[in-house]
Parts: sequence; structure tokens; C-alpha cells
Amino acid sequence: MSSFGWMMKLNINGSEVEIDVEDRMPLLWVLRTELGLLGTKFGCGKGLCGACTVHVDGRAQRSCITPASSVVGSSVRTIEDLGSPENPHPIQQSWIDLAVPQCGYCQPGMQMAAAAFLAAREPDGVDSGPAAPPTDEEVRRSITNICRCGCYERIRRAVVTAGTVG
Amino acid sequence: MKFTRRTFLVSGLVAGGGLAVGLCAGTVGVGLHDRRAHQQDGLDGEGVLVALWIEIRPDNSVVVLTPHTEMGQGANIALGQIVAEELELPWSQVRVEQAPADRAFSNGNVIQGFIMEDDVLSGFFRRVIENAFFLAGDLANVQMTGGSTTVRFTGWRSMRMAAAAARSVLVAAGGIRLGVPVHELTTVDGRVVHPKSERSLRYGELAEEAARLPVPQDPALKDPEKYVHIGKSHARDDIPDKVFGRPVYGIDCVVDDMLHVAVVGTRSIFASVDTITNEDAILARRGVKPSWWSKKEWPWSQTIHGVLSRLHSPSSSPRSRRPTPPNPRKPFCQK
Repeated sequence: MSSFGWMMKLNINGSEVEIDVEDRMPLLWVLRTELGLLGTKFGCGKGLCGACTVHVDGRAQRSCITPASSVVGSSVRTIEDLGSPENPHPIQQSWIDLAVPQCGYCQPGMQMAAAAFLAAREPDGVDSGPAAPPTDEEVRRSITNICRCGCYERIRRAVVTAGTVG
Repeated sequence: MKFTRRTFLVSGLVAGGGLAVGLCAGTVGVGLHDRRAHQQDGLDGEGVLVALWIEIRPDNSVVVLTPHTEMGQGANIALGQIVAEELELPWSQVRVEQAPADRAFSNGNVIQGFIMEDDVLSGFFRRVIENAFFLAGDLANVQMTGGSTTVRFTGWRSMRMAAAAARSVLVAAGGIRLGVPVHELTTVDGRVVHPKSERSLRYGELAEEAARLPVPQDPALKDPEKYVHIGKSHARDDIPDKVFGRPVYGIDCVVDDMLHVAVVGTRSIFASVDTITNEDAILARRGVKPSWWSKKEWPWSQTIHGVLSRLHSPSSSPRSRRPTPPNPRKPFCQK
């Protein structure tokens, strides 16, 4: 059918898209060059820095080392769908309140990682009550993204704040 | 105060009838480098800009043009604060814009500041030195950001003086318009005010007139005791966009006929590339242009070669059926 590889259907930010790309083309490049979703950034290309972090079925995943073919049947969510100025995600609100980003390049990935981290802590049973606010140590251990501007302290505070409010 | 009139102020009309105040190195007595002419050339053509401008537009907005890069460090906010302070502006009236990458914006002041800090020079020697620094700035075509120079030199030294000079000519223009002596006038919130008669004029109304007046070389600077912007924290206006993944970075730029190049070096120094063993396989890939280049005369004798390719760009994806992105935005960049 296709001379490049696979014709595949993906679910990106709630819409079905059909792409025709080389086998094993990383999800990052599908998002950026095939779909024009430029919010997700390329950093190291080796899954180390986390600038390319997106959600796959709600879990944070490095899209630069994720073959697009591996997310067929899953839901992918990018920074473009996390929130909007009118309706910001709690992470985005606390990011603004605490003036977290400096240059901002790593921040889409950072926020996706933070949002997934908070979502994973939410109670799954009705009787379990609200999750306790995340501890600093928990944030440090769970979010491994790199920020070259060194905004870690504000990032940590913003995650704890969003986790406490939400 | 250590400031020693090491710059001379010039002013002029810009297209659209605004007042612009900039700084130039000494032009009197020494013919080494006529900064003033250099800048005034820029006033003739539309969109041509000169060093260290503060532009007052007829709609009363004040635009600070900065020759420095804002990458989230807050430099633009600091420059805006300095100008707002000396010009007696409400924060909402100030805008900071990036100066174009033009030689007219080369910034010798930064070089001088780096080397001489606030050393005081005098007389003829001073002018020679100043000219030399601006000439050096022009030759190097310097627009640089680093070492806190934006605030220490461009902001605190140059833009503060330019703003004070702008205020001075606006007051003078207000005096002429209202027919009152200058010492009876004051400036409040972007207006020249005459308290006695309770009359006032917006800066925007006076800009054209003010631009025709001689610019003071030694404008009075505001008493730091009365600062309302400097020393306060103003919110950075670049943050909301950054939180929603919206800024356009270099990697997001798409221009017509853009090609990407994959650069590969040899693995050891002094080695060179004869053939690319998988060249056929590379050329067979989608979008790869049937040409690669090789640069053998690299300074460290290492051969660098690159493969040109046209990746799918968002504007020309030929094969995939593109969805409407939930938050579509067309990346663009100026050439």
C-alpha cells in the first residue's frame, strides 16, 4: 500500500489521524513534522532529557524513542491538549503563578511529566480519599526531565502546589 | 554619579510621526566615527532602526527597541522598567521589542562597559576612546547578550539616559504648546502636566513636536528615592505562552524550500571521507535530495559531510492525511 512503511491510525489529542510513514518513525517526528504539533520539543533524541514527553494512555513517555507504530490503539496527548489559557490544567496554572519557565523550551515535556505524575497519584477508589500532597522527595524522584535553565526549584514547588490544590 | 556624558544624544522623527531618542558616541571634534550620521541614516527609510531607540508613537505607546536577546531571563522587563521609570510611564504603556539584526544596532557601549566598567575618562582622550569602542562595535557588528550587560550597560547607562532625554524634550514641547515655562511642568503617567492650570498633554500628542527640539546632552535623572518601577517585580509577559507550548523556537521555523542537513564527521581527527557506504540506501529514503556535500578543508582537517533532505514540513506533508490539530498554528519565520 505504502512505499514508506506503515499506514497507521493514531489517536492524537482525541482525534483519529491516519499517517503513512516509515516503519519505526519516532512518535515525536510524527507529531512535529507530519501533524504540525510543534509544542512537543526535540531535545536529545535518546530519551534522556524529556523535552519530548507526551502522554500515552495517560502515562508520561519520551516520544523521541517511541516508534509511532507502538502507540496504535493508544491515546496520545500532547501539550496542545493539556489546557488552554481559558481552561488551564492545574499544572499550567501553578506554572504561571510561580513563574516557572525561563527559556521555556523543555517546559512542554516537563509539564506533561508533571501532569502524569499528579494524575497517577489520584485515588482510584471512592473511599481512599484525596491523595496526600506530593512530597519534595517524591517529585524529585519521579520527574527526571532536564531543564538547562535550571528552574528545578520552581518546578518542584509548582508541582507540589498543583498537587496540593488539585 | 559616575556617568560622564560619554554618549551624546540625538533625536529625530521616525516614520509615522513618533519621537525617537537614541544615543551616539561623541561626534564633536573627532572625525573618527560619526555615530550620529550613522543613526540618522536610519531615520530616513521606513523600518530602518538605529541604536538604542526609544520610540514614542502617536497613540501614546512607548516602544523600547532592545539589541539584546530575551530568552526568559527577564532582560526585556528590566529595560522596560528602566525606561518607564525615567519617562514617568505607567507599566501598561511600555512595550519592549527586539531590534533587527542590523549593523545600525551594533552596540559598542557594551564592549566599552565590559572593558572599562565605569572608569571615568576626560576630554579629547575620552572621545577617542568612545569612538574606538563604537567603531569596534560596528566592525564586529556586535549585538550580544551576556554578563548582565543588558541591564548594567545598555539599560542603566544608555537607555536610562535616552529616556531621561526623551522626557526632557517632551516637557519642553509641552511648555511651548501650553505657553508656560518648563519649570512649572511635571510628568505623570505618560503625560506632561501643568498643575497650575490643571492642563495636561499625552506624550503621543507632543512626540512630533518634541522630535524637532534639541536633545539635552546631560538630562536630569530621576531621584532613586522616587522610583516606582525599579526595585519592584513586574510579571514576565512571556510566561503564559510558554506554559501552553506556543512560542516558536528555531526548531519550529519553516521557510519556503527549507532543507535539513544531517551533518556527520569522521570518527578520528585527520581522517577524511572517501565514500559513504550506505549512500544508495540513504538516497532511497523519502525526501532525501540526491546530493550530499563534503567539506574537506575543515580547520582541524576533519571531513564533514552532510546529507540534504526535505523532511515533511507541516506546510507540505504530501502523503499523510492531516487532521485538523486541536490547536492549529502555522509556524513561520522571517527570512
